Amino acid sequence: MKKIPALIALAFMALGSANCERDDLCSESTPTTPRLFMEFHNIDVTADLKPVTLDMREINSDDTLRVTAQSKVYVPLKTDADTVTWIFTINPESSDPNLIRTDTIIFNYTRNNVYVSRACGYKTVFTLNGNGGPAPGYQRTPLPPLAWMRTIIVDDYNIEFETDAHIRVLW
Amino acid sequence: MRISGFYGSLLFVLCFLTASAQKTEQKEADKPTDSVTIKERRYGLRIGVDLYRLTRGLYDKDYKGLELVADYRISPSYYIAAEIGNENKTDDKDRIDYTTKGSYIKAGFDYNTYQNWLNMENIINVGARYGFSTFSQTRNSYKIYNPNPYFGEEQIVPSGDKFDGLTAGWIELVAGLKAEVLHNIFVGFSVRINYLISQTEPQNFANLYIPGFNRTYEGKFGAGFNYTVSYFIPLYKTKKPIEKEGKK
Repeated sequence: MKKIPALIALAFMALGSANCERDDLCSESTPTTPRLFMEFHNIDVTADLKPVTLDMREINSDDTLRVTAQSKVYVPLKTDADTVTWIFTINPESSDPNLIRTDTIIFNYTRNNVYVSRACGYKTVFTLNGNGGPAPGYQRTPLPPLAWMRTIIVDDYNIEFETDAHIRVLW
Repeated sequence: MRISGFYGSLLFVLCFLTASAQKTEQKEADKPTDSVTIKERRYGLRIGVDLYRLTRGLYDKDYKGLELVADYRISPSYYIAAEIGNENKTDDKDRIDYTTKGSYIKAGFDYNTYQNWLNMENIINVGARYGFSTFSQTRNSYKIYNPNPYFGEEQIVPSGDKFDGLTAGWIELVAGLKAEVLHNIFVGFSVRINYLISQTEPQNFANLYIPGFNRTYEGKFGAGFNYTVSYFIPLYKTKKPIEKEGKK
C-alpha cells in the first residue's frame, strides 16, 4: 500500500519532464506560408521540363535570388500587400548581351491568414485574382514575342501548398 | 522553471510531514505502554486557498488568479474534493499574443493512502477530478510564419478579436500531500495530470490556455499543481480502541 504514492510520484515526475519538452518550435514539415511555384516547360514539347538559369528580384528590393539550371522556381509573395512585382532576368551571366532578357510580372492576389499551431502561429495563403473574375492574376511586360516567357498558364489560383505547380511557363 | 517550483514545494511539505511525525513519536514514548489507546477520527470540512495562484499575480504582471479548495471527509480514507477558481492570463512570449479569462470548477474525490500515527491527520492522497471551464480568449496579435523570408522583418498582425463562450471539460489525476502544521491548519501540495475530453474551439484559432487546465499542448494532456493552505472545520468525530488495529 505504501508503495502506491511513490509509484504515482514517479509517474508524475516522468510525465512532468515529458511535458517540459519544447513544443514551441515550428517543424519544417508543417506547411506554412507558401511561395508561388512556377514550373518551366519546353515551348516545343510542353510536357517536358526545361531548366532555366535566371536572376529574380522584387522591384523594390536589392536582394537578387539566383536560380541555376532549375525547372522549378519558387517566388515569394508579400504577406502584407495584395500585389508584388518580380523581375526575372534570364541568362544573367551570359557574355552575349542578346541572351540577357528581362521579363517583369506583377502578381495580383488576395490573402487569408490561417491558424497553424502555437509553435508556428499563422500562415498566409493566397488566391490569385482572375479566376473567373475580370482582374488578371498577373500582368507582364514586355508581351510576347519580346518576352522570353512565351506562354504563362495558371494551373492553380489557390496558393496554399508548394507541392504542385501554380503557374507553368513555356519558353 | 515551473517544475523546479514543483519539487521545491514538494520537499517543503515533506519536511512538515516528517517533522510532525517525529513529534508524535516523542509523545508516544512518554506514555505508559499499557494504557488503552483510542483512535479518534475527526470528520469535517476543510477549506483553503491555492497560494501559488494567489501570489503569482505579485510577480507576474500577465497573470491574475484565485483558486479555493475544499474537501469533506466521508469515510476513514475517502474525501469529496473540489476546487473552484478564476484566471486571467496573457501570454505574449510565443508567436501568438493572447489573453484568456475565465472560471472553472473541479469536483471529485481524494483517497488517503497514508497510515497515520494515532490521532494525526496527515494525508498522502491520490484522487481524480472532473474539471469544467467557461472562458473567453482574446487574440491580441499574431505573427505570420514564413519559412522563406525575402521581404525582411517578420510581420506582426494586430488583431484584438475576442472569442466568447468557450468551454472545456477534462479529467484530472491528482497526487498530493497535506500536513497539519498547526492545530486544524494544513499545508498541502498537489500535482495533476489533465486529459482534455471536450472543448469548443474558436474559429481560425485554438484554446492555447484553459483556466484550471492550464496551458494546452498539441495532444490532449496537460499538467498542473497547487500549493494550498487550508483550515479544517471539525463537525463530528468517531472513536475506537486500536490495540488490534495497529498489528493487522
